[in-house]
Amino acid sequence: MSKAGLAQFQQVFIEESLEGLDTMESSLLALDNGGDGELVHTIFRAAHSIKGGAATFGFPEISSFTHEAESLLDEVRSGKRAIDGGIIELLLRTVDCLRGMFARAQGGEPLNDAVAAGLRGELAAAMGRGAAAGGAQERREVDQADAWTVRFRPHPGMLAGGNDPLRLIRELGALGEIAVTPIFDRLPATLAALEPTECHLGWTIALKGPARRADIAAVFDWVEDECDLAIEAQHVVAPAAAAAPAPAAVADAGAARAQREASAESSSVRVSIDKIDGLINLVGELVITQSMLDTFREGEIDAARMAVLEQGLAQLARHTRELQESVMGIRMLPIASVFNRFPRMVRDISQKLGKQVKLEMIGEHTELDKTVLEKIGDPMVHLVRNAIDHGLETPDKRRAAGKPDVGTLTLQAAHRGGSIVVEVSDDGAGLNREAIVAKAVQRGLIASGEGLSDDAVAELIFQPGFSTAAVTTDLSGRGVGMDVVRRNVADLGGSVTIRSTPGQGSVFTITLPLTLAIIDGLTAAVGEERYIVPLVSIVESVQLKAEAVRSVAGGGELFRFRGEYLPVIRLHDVFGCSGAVQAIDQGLMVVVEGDGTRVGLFVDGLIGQQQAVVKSLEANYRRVQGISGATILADGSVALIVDIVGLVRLQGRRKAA
Amino acid sequence: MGKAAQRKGGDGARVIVLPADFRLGAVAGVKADLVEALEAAGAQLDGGAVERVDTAALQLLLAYRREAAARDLSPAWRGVSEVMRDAAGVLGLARDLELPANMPA
Repeated sequence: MSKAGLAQFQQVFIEESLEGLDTMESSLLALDNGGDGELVHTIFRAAHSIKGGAATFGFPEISSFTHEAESLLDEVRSGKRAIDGGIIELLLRTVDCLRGMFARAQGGEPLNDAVAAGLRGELAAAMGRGAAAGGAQERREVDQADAWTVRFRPHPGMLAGGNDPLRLIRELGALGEIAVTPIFDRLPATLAALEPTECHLGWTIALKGPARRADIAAVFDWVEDECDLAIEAQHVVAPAAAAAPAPAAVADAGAARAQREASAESSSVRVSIDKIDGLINLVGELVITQSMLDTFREGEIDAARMAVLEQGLAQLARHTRELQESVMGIRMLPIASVFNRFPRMVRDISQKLGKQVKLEMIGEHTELDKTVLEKIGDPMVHLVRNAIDHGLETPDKRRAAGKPDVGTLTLQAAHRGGSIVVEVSDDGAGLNREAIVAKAVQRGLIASGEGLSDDAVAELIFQPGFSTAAVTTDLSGRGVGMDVVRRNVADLGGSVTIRSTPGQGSVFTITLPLTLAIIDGLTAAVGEERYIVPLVSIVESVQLKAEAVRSVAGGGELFRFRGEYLPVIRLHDVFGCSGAVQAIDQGLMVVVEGDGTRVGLFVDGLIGQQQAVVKSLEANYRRVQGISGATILADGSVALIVDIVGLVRLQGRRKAA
Repeated sequence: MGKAAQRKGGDGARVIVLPADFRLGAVAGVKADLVEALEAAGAQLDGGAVERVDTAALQLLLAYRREAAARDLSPAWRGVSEVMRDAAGVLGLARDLELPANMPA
């Protein structure tokens, strides 16, 4: 296979493996909470596919590393070993380590590191320990030798499965010199009794040459369930140095997670057959409509035919809309893929902090756009960390407050209108009004807390650099918290709000658009140009009298809107449009909100509302400040989409300059 | 390619020509021919045209050869392709198949 071809499959394999690791992790956690034995099989299967795939797609390090974990799992699966907290912990760290290896595989870096080597030793040690405890006194398997005997006995069905011993033994021959002895004991005595598509033969293969056990095992990876296989070392070259059981440099799980997050954005999406069938159906309908409309090319169009034509056009419009929705649906994935990382995180953090937390997840099947999905992870991680670190109390504090020892953290996702609403709520202490006010006064954000509503106080925590944690921990409280969350969510065209009741807990609500690919916007005219202003940002539009706008020192302009002064951004100024309306009373002021700030956009006028399919300006031209993308209008001309948040920041910088 | 072609050799003996793609999909057909051949006191096997071969095919020939030997029929190869010879070598079956040492393919 060509290198490029293999690389393409490698990417798919890596993505599938990361999903497999997610499955392993969630199953391990479920097992830790007393799940049933079927979970062990699920975990084993996931590990098995990763191992097999890794060998095939050219990641022998991952394959042999996973093999260690798989061996341990196999003992658990076959009942030779009881699973306990220690093994679960070890396997969870193995999952983290594998994620790191896959991330490095994507980056083309060396796959093995100190963590992998340490874990390998621990896995091997866990196996050895169990054997001794079981009294079996199994000989420790030798990893490296310069002569091996491989006993290979295919099950009858192996040939029909497309696996040919001929190929396997040939592959084995690539590892060294082989001498093959066939075993005929199961071959029927007469030809007539032979079932020719079943395998009745077995082989004993003597392999000479320095080879590792893992290399030999890798040859038989795909057929492991279809044969009996024994690999015995005949001549040992050196004691296996790598099996030192010392857990060398076990890195912080956070590091592994950071790597994982870095690799979380993937370039492909897997789509269910149902969705594709739906698309094919719709395209079929569209073709029928088109051929129906085609009949109108010829002949006079009288009143009767006109009615049919109108009906056809209506059908066309309906099918086009449905097709658009279906195509958008392809990018929609359940939020479960984001939620699934939290059980592990909650477990780790709560253990670290000595808190008891029950995690509840509601609406994991809510679907949202893949791009939004990939970017919502970080803000949610922040909120969840905050909720456990700052929100939920320690068990004794909870008891003192008359609450159950175990705090509840709830993640909830739901569709609401045209948006997705994700809530992170806890039943902890709620926001500490006094502490927030004191901090805000100290930071000079407010003069005093008097007269501020609870909501206004809560808003303060979204200010840059705001953190009330007396001691910054490695979990949260670095003072780069909530403002970053808000900015990340705003970048996705969403918003974050907070509702908190002292003593009863807090609810953080993230509202997100369903997709980033289509926005609802108002078309604004500025000179010859047309701009799309996203509807979600628009507060209101007003026609002002010329005297309503005042110039201020430094060149800016302000106008009074509902009791506050808002800066004016003249779009024709920012984007350099010619022939635009200059006089305030001739144009229109569109009040928009972005990044928590309101500004007035001065435009010539508004033309109408429309859905805009967002085309990337960056991909087709280059990044332009204040513009988030472009779209094509009904007349075929291009309109630019105004990036409100970007404009507001641009305005802030101009003011500062 | 289910069935192997049969023809009479120049000396009148039955000859079974093994198919070019002699793999899992072809073994059932060839088996029928071989069973017939056993009843008819053996046949010569011509594997000179075999281009692809797998374990199933060689296993079939092995079963044929073993029963033929039990019936005291001597091995009779008309041709063996390099591909067959190589595969039999890898699987350690060359001796049991009594492949001729050197024969033009």
